[in-house]
Amino acid sequence: MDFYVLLIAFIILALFPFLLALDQFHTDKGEALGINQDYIVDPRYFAKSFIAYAKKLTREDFNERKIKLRDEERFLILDNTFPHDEIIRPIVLEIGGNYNLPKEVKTLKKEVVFKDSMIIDNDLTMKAMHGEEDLTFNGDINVQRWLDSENNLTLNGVNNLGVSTTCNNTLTITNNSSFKRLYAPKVQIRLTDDLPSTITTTSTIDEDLIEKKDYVVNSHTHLTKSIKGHKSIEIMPYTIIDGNVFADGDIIIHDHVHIKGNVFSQTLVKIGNDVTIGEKDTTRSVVCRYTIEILGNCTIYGLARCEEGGTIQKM
Amino acid sequence: MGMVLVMKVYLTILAFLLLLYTVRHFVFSHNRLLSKQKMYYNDIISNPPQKVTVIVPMHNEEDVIHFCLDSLIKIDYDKNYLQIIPVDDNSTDKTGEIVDGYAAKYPYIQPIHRHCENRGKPAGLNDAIQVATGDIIVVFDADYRPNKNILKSLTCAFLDPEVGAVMGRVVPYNTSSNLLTRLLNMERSGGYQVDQQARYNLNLVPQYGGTVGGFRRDVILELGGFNTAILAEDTELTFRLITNGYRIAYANTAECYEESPETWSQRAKQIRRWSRGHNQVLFHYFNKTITSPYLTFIQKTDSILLLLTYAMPLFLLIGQIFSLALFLMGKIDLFEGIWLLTYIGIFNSFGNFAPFYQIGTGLLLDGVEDDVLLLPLLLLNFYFYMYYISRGFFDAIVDVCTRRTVTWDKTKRFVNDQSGKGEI
Repeated sequence: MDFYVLLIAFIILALFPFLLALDQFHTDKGEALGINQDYIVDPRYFAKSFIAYAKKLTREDFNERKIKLRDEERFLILDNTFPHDEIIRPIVLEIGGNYNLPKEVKTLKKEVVFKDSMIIDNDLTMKAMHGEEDLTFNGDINVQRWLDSENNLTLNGVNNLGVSTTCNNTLTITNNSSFKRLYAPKVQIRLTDDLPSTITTTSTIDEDLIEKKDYVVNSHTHLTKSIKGHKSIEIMPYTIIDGNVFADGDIIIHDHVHIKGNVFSQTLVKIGNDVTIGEKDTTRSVVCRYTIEILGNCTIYGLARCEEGGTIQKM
Repeated sequence: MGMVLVMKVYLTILAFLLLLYTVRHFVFSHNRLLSKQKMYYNDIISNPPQKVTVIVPMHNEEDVIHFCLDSLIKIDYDKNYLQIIPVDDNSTDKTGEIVDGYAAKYPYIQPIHRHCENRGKPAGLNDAIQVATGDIIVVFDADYRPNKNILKSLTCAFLDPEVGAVMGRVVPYNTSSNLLTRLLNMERSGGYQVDQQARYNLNLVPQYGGTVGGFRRDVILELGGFNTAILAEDTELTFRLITNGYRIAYANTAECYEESPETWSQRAKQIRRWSRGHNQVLFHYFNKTITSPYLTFIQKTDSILLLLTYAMPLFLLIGQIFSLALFLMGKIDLFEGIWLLTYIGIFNSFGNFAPFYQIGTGLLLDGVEDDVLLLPLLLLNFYFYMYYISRGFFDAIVDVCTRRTVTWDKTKRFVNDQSGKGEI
């Protein structure tokens, strides 16, 4: 008797996982994993996708002042003046005219779009802002999501630049700031009035370098190709690198260095004073896992991006 | 008595190997679930872009080729830096006419037509590489449907001077067709989402898979082109690159749809061909891998385990026969010392190259955790593969012994256009 009970128990237990599997197979037909076939990389994605929503407004929605984002939201169209409130809660779409931001305004809770150039002296906390023309901020700003301009963007205060700060021409930052992603054809950090030095090199390396240990590129070296380090790479002053700099460890770039290619680190990147990355009319990137520390005047033709947040700090 | 000893020694070695695989599966799964992931290069924006040639090898692909070429036309890459070479390899259907039609409309599509005896992917690639203008070669099979961003995502890896080849992720689109496609989808999930990504994370050896991947043109030319005597030109390239000091990058976000085989007979042919090709590479590269000055001890260990992947099912089959024989002869006690270890190893390596941990982890990461319930059904694949992979192993032995010419067997297409995935 015991034998048969045990046998039946064994068979049931042995088959049980298969029964569950067959049930799952028949009840759930299994969808293919989704791939967004139309996805493309655009560093100004946030602003462009918001503007695309705004441009899709129907006349009815416009009249009713509602916009369909993830949820339906109310928006405000400016007529003569900006509201004199400390906190502006709705989305603001400016459709023409010159406006000044009243001194009372401290917080913009939702997205704001300006059609004309703006110079803003207020200290501001904002969710997101896009300018169709130049945007200049003279106060300290705290961006929660993104900040974008179709032309130039100038930031003179002490800033927290949120998830993404981008523009389509020149992005200028002249004070201590934190950021996660900066993008512009030309990103110029101008913390001092120092003029750039002329870099003269005395030795040339004409091959790709693959280094397994910590590596130092000596001063006054011209490296015509790329360098890859399995550990850290330190680039001493007065160096020119025509190719890319990739490392599994830290990348330390000292003063007066020009890297014409991309900089990529699995850890962090430190950038000294008077450093140029990329060249005019090219797009290059400085990308790393943890943080990018910018410690002086620096020009990046393209993108600076780090996952944990970067800092721009006067020495 | 002597035979018993031989069987026991064999099982002991097998137990050690299986434990190595078990540890590897655990480490990979742990890495994907709980460890920091290595960053891929796809955040880099770099313009002007690198010159790229996309090669699409094809033989009688009139049913599917328009999906692939239509997708490539829409791809987000400066067309001044892009060349597409469809390789019409001895097609007897309308493939040649179709690609010529595309070439007439799009000047960057420059097909080559092969009418010769040495049909096959490696030979076709060799011919295409000779006329390629790109510094980077990217390969898609004819049934693949690349997304708009995939070229940028794959080619950015070559900004790293150490990367010799890059591999993207393959995702079946006909998952829901039948039980086989469902199981293949699970294997793909474990294979790419966990196995390939973990190897990339841990600086081991991700495998170039022959499609949805690319390599440097000058490197492959310098290394003598593809070996037309080897069926698995992708695995061969992987080992040729790593034993010459290059690295393989894996781009988990460079995803591309493929069509899985929908019949067991097609899958049997495919897996037998893969086994034959992979084991040819095993015989060619076992010593070179062990003696390579460019690989660390851990990388060599991982590479050898990778090389043995398609030999293990046969070893396991022999091991199971020996175990049964010893058990029936009363020479084995399941709970005694090394035998206990053996069975723990066998249990934990169940499925061997499609191990449960990795597939389960892959399904979790892909957000289809309910499919974990399907894992027991992989038992079907396990014995199915054991048989056909073992046959592929013997094919490879005959190839090496007789130096016979290998011939390519075309994978049948099922032209499934589910969920609008074909309307790209």
